[in-house]
Amino acid sequence: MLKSMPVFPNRVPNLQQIGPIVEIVIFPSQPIFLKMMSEGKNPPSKKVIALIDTGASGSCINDPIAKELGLIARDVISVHTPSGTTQQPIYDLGFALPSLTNNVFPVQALGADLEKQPYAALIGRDILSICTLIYNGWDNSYQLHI
Amino acid sequence: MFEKELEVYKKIKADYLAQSPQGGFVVIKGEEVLGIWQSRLDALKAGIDKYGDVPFLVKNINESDIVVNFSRNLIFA
Repeated sequence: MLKSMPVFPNRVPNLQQIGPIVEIVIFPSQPIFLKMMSEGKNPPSKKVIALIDTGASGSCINDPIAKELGLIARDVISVHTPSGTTQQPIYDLGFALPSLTNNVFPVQALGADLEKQPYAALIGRDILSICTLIYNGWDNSYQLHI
Repeated sequence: MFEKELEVYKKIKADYLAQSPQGGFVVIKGEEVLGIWQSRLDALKAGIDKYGDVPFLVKNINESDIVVNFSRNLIFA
């Protein structure tokens, strides 16, 4: 079954320190994307590094990217972290892998301050629910099957 | 954010769940309830067609309270 799906193998020098990262492309939500296309506008997109985070039940993007893409929050949601619980806005967006930009998945993501992190997005278990992730700590490699 | 819309949502949620037990996505702007759709993308499209790309609430009425958990601390804007 895994062979029939696109595979994104990767290897980093120190997987424990860096974590499993992938390049992703973020788009406005599909209705906004299509509306801009119909108006002859070029919909914005942003290629960023994302950390695959099995400790996150939802996905997250760096807030300045949401602003850069002109994303508007469409809901608020309760967020639990070790520091406590807050209500945070969430954005509807499109998510794709650079080699599969014709295959855009609709995602809801929180905006958070990730400025000091080496990545600009977290891929949470909402996206992982349609993926297979193989993490091989022995040789610092990982594979994401979508 | 969405204080007014969330108040409206609290008032209508039980009725909408009774009308649509399978759930759905309701669009609210201010005190106006635009309607309910079975898919979030359809609800978003309806809201954008009606109001444009401005803030409006799209709420999933399937679940009582959706909670996102992070095992790490995050800084929110």
